Amino acid sequence: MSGPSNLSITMLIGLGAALAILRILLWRRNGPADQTGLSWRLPTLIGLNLMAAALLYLTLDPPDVGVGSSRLVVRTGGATTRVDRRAGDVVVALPEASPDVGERVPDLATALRRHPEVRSLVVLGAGLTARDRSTVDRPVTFDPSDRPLGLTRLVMPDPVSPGGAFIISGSVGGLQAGSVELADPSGAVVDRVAIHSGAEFVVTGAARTAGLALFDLQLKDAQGRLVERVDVPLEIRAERPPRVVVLAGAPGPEPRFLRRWADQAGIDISLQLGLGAGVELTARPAPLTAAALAETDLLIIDERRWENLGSGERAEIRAGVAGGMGLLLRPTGPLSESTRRDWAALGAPLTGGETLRALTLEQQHGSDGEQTTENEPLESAPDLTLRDFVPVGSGAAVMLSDADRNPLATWRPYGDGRVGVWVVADSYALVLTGQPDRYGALWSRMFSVLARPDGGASPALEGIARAGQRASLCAASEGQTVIGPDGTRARLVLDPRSGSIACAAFWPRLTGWYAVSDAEGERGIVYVHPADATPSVVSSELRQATLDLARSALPHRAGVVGNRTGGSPWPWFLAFVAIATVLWWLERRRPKVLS
Amino acid sequence: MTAIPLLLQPQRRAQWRALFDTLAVGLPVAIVAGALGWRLAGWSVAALLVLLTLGLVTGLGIWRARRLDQGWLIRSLDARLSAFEDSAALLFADVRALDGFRALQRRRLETRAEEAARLDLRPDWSLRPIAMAWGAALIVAVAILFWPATRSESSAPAASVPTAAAGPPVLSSFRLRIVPPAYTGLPAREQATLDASVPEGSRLEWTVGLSPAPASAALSFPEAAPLPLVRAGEAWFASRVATQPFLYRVEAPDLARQRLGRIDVVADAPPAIRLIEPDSQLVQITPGQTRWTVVFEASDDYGVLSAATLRITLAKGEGENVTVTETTRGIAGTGEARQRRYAVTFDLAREGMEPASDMIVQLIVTDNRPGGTQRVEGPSVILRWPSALGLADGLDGMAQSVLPAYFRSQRQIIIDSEALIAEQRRLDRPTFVSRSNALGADQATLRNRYGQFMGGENEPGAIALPTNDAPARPAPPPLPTNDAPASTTAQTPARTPARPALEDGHSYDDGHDHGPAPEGGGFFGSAVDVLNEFGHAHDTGDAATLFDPGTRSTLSQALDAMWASERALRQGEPAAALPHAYRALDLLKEAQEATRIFLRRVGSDLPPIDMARRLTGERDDIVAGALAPVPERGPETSAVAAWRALEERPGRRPELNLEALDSWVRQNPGRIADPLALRAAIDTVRAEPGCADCRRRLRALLWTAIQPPATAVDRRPTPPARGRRYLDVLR
Repeated sequence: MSGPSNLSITMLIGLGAALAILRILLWRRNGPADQTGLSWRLPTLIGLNLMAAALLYLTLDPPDVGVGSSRLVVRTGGATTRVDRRAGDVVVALPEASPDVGERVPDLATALRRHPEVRSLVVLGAGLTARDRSTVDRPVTFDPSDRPLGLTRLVMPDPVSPGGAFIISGSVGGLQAGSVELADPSGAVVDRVAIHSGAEFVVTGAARTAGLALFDLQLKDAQGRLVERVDVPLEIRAERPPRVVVLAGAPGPEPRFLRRWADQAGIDISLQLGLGAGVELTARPAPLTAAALAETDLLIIDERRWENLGSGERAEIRAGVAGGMGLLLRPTGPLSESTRRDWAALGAPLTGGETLRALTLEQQHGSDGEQTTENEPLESAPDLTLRDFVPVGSGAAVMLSDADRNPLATWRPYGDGRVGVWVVADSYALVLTGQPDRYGALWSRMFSVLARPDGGASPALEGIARAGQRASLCAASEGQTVIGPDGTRARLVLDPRSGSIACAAFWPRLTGWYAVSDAEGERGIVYVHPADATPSVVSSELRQATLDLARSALPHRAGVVGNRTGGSPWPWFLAFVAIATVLWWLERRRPKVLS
Repeated sequence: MTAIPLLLQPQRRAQWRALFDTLAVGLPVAIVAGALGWRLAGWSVAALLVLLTLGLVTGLGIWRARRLDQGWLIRSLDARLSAFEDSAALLFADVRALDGFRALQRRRLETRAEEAARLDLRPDWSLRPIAMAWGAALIVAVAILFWPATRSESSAPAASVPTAAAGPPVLSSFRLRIVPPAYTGLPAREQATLDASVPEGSRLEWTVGLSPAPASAALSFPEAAPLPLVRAGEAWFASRVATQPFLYRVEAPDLARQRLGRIDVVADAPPAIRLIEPDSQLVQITPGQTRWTVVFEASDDYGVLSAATLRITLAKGEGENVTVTETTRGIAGTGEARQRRYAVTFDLAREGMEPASDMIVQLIVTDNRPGGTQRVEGPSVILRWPSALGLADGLDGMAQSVLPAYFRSQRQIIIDSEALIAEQRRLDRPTFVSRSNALGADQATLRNRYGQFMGGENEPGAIALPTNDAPARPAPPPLPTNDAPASTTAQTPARTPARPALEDGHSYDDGHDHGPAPEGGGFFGSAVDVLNEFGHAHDTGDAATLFDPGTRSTLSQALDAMWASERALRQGEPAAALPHAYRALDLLKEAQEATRIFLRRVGSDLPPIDMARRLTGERDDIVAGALAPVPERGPETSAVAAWRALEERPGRRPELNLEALDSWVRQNPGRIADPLALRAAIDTVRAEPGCADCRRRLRALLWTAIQPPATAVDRRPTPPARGRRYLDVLR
């Protein structure tokens, strides 16, 4: 006991005991003579007094029990009040945990400073936050609570172009059965996926005109009750359209509908239709020179036109692709040997192509924001045909595939550019059967993958940002400012440790859209969620991070001596009270005087 | 003491009399008090006052009764009864305290107590006070009850005018009565909510309570003139006939801005006609059918007129000789007005049906809408009597019963031969030859099939060798005469093996061919002897005059080509058979198209041919025309502009033009799912510019009004410089 010194206590107790014994003796002497009574009374009283004094001393300074376990039991958010503690444990409660059990500390560093003798940490509850994870220098044992119920992982969609489709992927935690629904800004459900516990899901939606939109992702259980919902921010931005040149050996429906779609989408397309004998039908002649090809972002050519190209023009095209232009080869019939060789040299070796084969595209949900339920029929996939060209080798990346995972469009890199092959013979049938938006989606995907790159990456958030917590913006550059919804500005300072990724952090206070801009104008826009958004994602991230920490080998702290913990004073106190009661009763009891 | 209870009876009776007397006087007072209380403050206060007064009166009565105590009793007894000798007090004294003379006197009095009990000591009714009280009470109560109200009411406006100036008017009650038009048969209903969905043309009556009453009130509409509310007493009335959906709001000076209510109008839907019998729209006539029944069912939301029209179109003839006649006749329906059934049975002979004719029947019904009936033409049913002939190659719907289901067509033989040639390398010779032979057999069957039209022999399957045991050919069927038409088409299988009898005028020995008998009877898809079932081959073999000479020669050339190809196929040389097979196909097509008419494509105006340059091969000065112009994209709609203006992007935002948006919504109701909700949202944003929730709601509604544009192209970002250098070094 480190309070009043032992010596003073001993002296006081000794004084008290001496006074008590003196009192008894005086009492006995001054009492009536005939009350000497029982001979054993005096020694008993003296003995009991001495015992009471000793017990009092032991109560105030209980003897040591032994060496404790010297663990620090840290209760974090969601920890139950039932703590399995052993002797020698120190229990602390971080601010996220309920304050009922344990010493309340503002963070883990404070607890470690207050109890430097602990040798290991036991974490209970959801896990340590980032604030505390960086201060841990002792081995950690983590016993995670149950897996969180709602969405445990969520990937927000990237910016899309107007009319384009986007996907949201994620996974679900402990919910047994239910569904994930995506609702558009007007509230209509556009996609629904059934999920079970631990499942991963992908929902798709379609964007409309350019601007900022907030979709709504809802997790519902099997009875249709809402479990969790989160806003999905979507930036729909109109990019600068690519300049496309289409060289066709003959007029046909495919270039015709391609031109129609491209004009509707605002793409600068130039169509060159060969009519035979050197005559070309075109609105704007596009010579195949190096300068002209350097201006072009994508060249679409079929094999009939390729055969009519001179070797100089073919070399120009090769050089253009190597300089970054995209090239889409559209075979419309069996290839001649020289064309096959040329294309193989460009990076598109193909075999086959003699016969036509039917194909079915994937079933698609309604894309206009209509309500889709399981009972409504999906749009029927039209019957298209493809030429069975097979890319040789395995280096080709797939852009589009049909319902059976057969590749319809593949591409390979060539120099700085990309060379793609499209084998569907009659994709214009989609327009003729009343699905022009599907046609547009297919060609837009191919254009997006193959066209020359344009513009730099815009700043984007890492993960989900929440109000009141640190958010990290990557692909930022020095000197940019972040403007909040209320107009407050914050200058971004790049983190030198992030290197070429160029990340900077900022601390948003309000929920809403934040614009990243520099001297020239707006560079990007990001969305900050409310502070309590997606709690299951937060807890699963904490859980994962703490598990990683627990599994990493942290050294035991050297030089820490386990303290000798004192025993409990309560048994001694009870004994003292008992002895004092007996003493009192004995002193009280006097033989009765009978008259 | 037995005497005393007897003597107490008169006292009791006197006390009760006193109490009732008091009550009789006091009751009118209570009544008056009750009337006053009711008049001033209501039933509860009146009841309270009545009870209070009754209590007071009862208390008074009890006090008066108490006054008639024992002393009074003794005095009254002494005064009334001389027999008591003024010593009635002795009877009430304690027996034990009496002694001697008094006890004696008491005993004497006890014997006379009987007659005392019968005394009537009751005080008289106070008649005058009772009468006066009741009279006065009656007059006062009547006066109170029937006092004219003006005195209390003329004081009320004087009291309420200061309160009206104190508080603004408030909507206290709202009732909307909807009276649908009579023809719908729906009952009138009432509701207390602002929104309603009503049938078109129904009458809406609003009853609005505003307290305190303002000077004027009206129902305002965002796009029309306001409708004033007429006051009648406490309530305000207005009525309107609903023909279009609209929004409205109750307005009055100083009234707080009310919520917009919406009235949706459900238009009368046109009737729907369904075909009940037959179950498909194209019906082939069955052999021997003389009557045909058609049943339609027309259903409507409010009622279909019973009188409908039936349009019957008869198309006779084929090829270029089609004549069409159209008649209409009235028909009456059965059943209730909302679902009527129309059934009609046609006598085919009377209608004029012939072979190779179609009868098309269509029902036209009308609605019972008073504003303008809606006329709907239903689906048509076609009864088809196919023509006598049909070619076996590639025709649909016409020659079903004669199409040989199991024959390979000429085109199929060509495809199979080419496939066989392609596989020649992989097959060994015997297999190849046997497959080729099989193709040859198919070609033979096809040739025989076509050969029937030319009068050739029909060899079923394997060629029968001429022996003595079995007849070389099956017996020929009975032949119809060349004058009478083929009356019956059903031929029983039992007749097939036997040699059937011929009709009059024909025998098996006359000069011409009667054709072979069909095998298996005339079921669908069987190798029916087309020629003899539906026609008659009059001449010998090759000189069959059924076709015009031109078609005949094409067909005979086709048969020759087929024979050549069959020969080559049977010998195991499909490559040699192919040219012949192609030629046969071309000739067949030519024969098939002989009755078709070819028209020039309308709208193609080719330039005139330059005869000088024609067929010379010169290509100078050829200039290609221009590509067809692509339809222009429309300008951005106001919905898109408003959507962008309502964005919550930090920084300057474009101006929100609500007027343009409102006019756009008004002009394009067909494009928007819920134009009323959008107009209500625009109105709310206009009224409360600071409400961020209202703006978000408007933005959400605008999302549905924006058309999804054509998918644009994402651009991929430029790879960073470091990555490019790394890639260059790698390559």
